[in-house]
Amino acid sequence: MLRGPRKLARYRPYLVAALAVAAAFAARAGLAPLLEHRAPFLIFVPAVLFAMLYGGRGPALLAGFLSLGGGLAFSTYDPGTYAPNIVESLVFVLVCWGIGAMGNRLARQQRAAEAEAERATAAGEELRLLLEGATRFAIFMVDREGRVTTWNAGAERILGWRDDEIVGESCSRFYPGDEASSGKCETDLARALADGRFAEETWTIRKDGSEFLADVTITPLRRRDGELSGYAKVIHDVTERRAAERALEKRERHLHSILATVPDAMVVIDEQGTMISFSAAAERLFGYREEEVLGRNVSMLMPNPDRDRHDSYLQRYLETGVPRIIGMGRIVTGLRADGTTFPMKLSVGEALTDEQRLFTGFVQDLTERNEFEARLEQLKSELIHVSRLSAMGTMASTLAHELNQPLTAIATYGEAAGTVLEQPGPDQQDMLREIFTEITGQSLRAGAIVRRLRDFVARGETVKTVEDLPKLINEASALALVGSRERGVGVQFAYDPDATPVLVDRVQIQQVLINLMRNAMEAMEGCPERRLSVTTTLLDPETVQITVADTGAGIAPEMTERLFEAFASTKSDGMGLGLSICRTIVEAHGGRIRARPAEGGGTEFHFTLVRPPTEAP
Amino acid sequence: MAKRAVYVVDDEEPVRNALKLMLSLSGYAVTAFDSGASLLDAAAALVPGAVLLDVRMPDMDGIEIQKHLANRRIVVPIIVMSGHGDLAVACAALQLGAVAFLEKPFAKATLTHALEAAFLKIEDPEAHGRRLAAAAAAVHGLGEDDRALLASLVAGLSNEKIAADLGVGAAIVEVRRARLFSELGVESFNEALAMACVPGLRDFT
Repeated sequence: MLRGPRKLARYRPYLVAALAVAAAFAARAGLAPLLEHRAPFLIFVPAVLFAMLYGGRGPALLAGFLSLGGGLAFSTYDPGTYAPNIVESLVFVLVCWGIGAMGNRLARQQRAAEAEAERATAAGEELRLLLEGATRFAIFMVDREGRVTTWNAGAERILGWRDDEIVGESCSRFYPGDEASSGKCETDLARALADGRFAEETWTIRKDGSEFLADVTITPLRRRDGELSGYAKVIHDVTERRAAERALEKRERHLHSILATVPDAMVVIDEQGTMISFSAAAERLFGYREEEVLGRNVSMLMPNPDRDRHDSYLQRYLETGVPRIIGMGRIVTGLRADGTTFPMKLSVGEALTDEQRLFTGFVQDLTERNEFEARLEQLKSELIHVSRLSAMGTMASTLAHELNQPLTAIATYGEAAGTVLEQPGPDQQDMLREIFTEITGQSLRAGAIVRRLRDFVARGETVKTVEDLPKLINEASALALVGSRERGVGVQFAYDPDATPVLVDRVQIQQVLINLMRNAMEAMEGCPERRLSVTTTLLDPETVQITVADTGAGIAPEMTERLFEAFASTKSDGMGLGLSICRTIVEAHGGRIRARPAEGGGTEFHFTLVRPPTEAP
Repeated sequence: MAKRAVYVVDDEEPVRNALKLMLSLSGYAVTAFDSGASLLDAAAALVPGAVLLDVRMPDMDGIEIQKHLANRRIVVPIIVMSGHGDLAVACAALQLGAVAFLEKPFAKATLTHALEAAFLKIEDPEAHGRRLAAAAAAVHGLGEDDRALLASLVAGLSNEKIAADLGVGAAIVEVRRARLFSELGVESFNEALAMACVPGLRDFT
C-alpha cells in the first residue's frame, strides 16, 4: 500500500523537472515570434536551476538534457546560423554543468548542516541529562533581566521550588530580604557581565524561607554573535562543608593554643627529618622563628656528631624498628641559632597517621636544671659533710666517755700506787700487784673499746640486698656526673654481663662510687684529656671488680701509701675522709679497695664486691 | 679527828674501786655507790661528807641526783665528774651548787683541791660563802669585753670561732683570755668556769 506513493515521491522531482522544461519550452514557443532564433537556450536556464534546487542533481541533469533538446529545436529555425547555435548550445551545457556543480556544493552544505544540527541536538540532550543528574548542584539560567528560564533537578532539591513554580520568577527570590530589596541580584549579574564571571559564598534562601550558606557562581551566556542571552547560575550548598572546616580550624587553633602554652619546646618532624611544626617554646629555646625552620632538616638544631648522623639514625629506625630514643628520654646537646649549645632532655613520640609517620620531640632545657642540680649537689655534699661531722661528734662523745672511764681508773690507780709506795707496809707488795693488775686490765679494756668503735663505724646498720650492678652504677653516676659535660669530661661505661648481681648495701656502695667518680672528675680539672671510665669485670665466680679510672695528673707516690687513711688529703679543702670511708665501706662488704697508676697517666681505683651465693640447683 | 667522809657515785666498778683505793690511802673514809638511787636511799643515815658524782650514768644522771638531794634539803658539797667535757652540763651542775667540776681522767692533786673546797663548805660555810661572793663580785666586776669573752668560753666556743665573732685575730683572743684569767685570779679554764657558773650568776649565761 505504501509502495505506490513512495515510488511516486521518488520520481516526482524528475517529473517536476520535466514540467519545468516543458513550461520553459512553452514560454519560448510563445516568445518565438518576438525572439525568433535569438537566445534559444536562455529561457531554459531557470528551468534547470529550478530542477536543481528542487530535486538535486538527477532532476537537474534530466532538465538539462531536455532543455538542450528544446533549445536546439528553437535554434534550428535558421540553418544559416547553424554555426553560432552550436556555440550557444555549448555555452548552455557549460551553464548546466555550473549549475550542477553549484547544486552539488549546496547538497553537501545541506548535509553538513543537518549533521551539525543532529550533533547539536544530541549534545544538548547530554547536557540536559548532565544537568539533571547534578543533583548536588542547583544549575539554572536566568535571562538578561534576571528571570529564571531553566531549572534542574538539583535546583529543585536544593532550593525547593519545582520548575513550574520558579521559571519566570526573579532571581532575587533566592536572596535574603535585605539583599533582595537592595537589588543585589541585579548587581551580581552586572558584575558577572563586567568580569566575565562572578563567584561568592553567601547566604541563600530556600522556598521554605530557611537559609543556607551557598557557593554561588554566575557566568554570562552569549550567543554566537556576542549578544548577551542570559546567565548561568550554579549554587552549591556548602553549609556542612564550611561547618566541618570551621570545626577543624577551631580544633587546630585550640590544639595550637595548647601547644603554645606547653612549657617544653616541641618540634615535629616527618620521616625525612623535615620539620613541620615548631612550637613557640621551641622558638624561644632555639632562637629560630617557626617560618625559618619549617621545611628544613631537624639536624640544624643539633651540633656534630649528631648533626651529620641524624639522617642515618632516622634511617636505621625506619629500617630496623628498633628505637634508640623514641619512647624514652635522653639527655642530648642542642644547638641554638647563635651557635651556642645547651644540655637538653629530649623525649620523642611517634605518631602514625593515614598518610605519614610523624615524630614529635619534646625538649626540656636542662641548663637551669643542671645549675640547680649542681647547687643541690653542693648542698647535699655539705649536708653529707655536716652529717658526717655530726656523726663524728656523736662518736667522739661516745669515744670520750667510753675511753675516759678506764683512763680515769688507770690514772687513779696510778696515783694510788704512788701513795702505796710512800707508805711501806707488810701488804705493800700485794697492794701494788693488785693495782698493776687493775691498770693492765683497764688498759686492755680501753683498747677493746677502740676496736668496738671501729667495728661500729665499719658496719653501722648495713642492709645488704642483691643488686644489679650496672643499674647501681648508672644511678650513682647520675648524681656523680652532674656537671661533667660542662667540665668537658667524657664518660665511658663497660659492663661485663657476668659481673652482676652483687650483694651490697646499695646506698653505701653508691656512696663509694660517687666518691670515686667525683674524685676522678676533680683530678682531671685542668688536664688536656678528660676521660672517666667505669668498668666491671668478673674476677672469679664469687668476686666482681669495679674500676673507676681517670686521665688526671695521677697520685704522688708518697700519697699512695696513705691514700685510704683518714685525714690524708691532697685537696686544699678536703677532709681526707672520702677514701677512708670508701675503704671502711668496701671492707665491711668483704671487699678490697686499692689505687694504682693507670696506663698512659691518671689513676685507677679498683674495688671488689661479693656476688650473692647461687642457689643450689 | 675522824676521817672525812667521801661518797663516790659511779656506775662503773673499776672507776669506783680505783677512787675508793686511792682516797682510802689518802686518809678518807670512802663509801662507794653504783647509782644515784642507792646513794639517795642511804643519804639520810650518812655522816656529812663530800659526794664525788659521775654525770653520765644510766637511770639517773648526776644533775638529777643533785636536784633530788636539794629537794630533800640534804646539803652536801658535790664534786661532779664527767668524761665528756660537756660544758653545759658542767655549768648546770655548778649552778645547782656543786663545788667543783672535774674532767675525767684527773690528777690526784686536782681531786684533792676540789675536796678541800668541798670540806670548806661543810666545815666553814661562811668562808665558802665568801669565796662564792668573791667569785660573783669578780665576774660582776669584769669589763664588757671580758664578760662577753667569758660567756663565749663558757658556751664552749673555740678560740677561732670567738675570734671570728669578735672580728679579731685568734692571737688577740689568746691575749684577752689570759687577761681575763688574771682578772678573775684563776689559772685554768675549769676554774674560770667554776666562777662563771656560781649560783646566783645564773643570768650570766
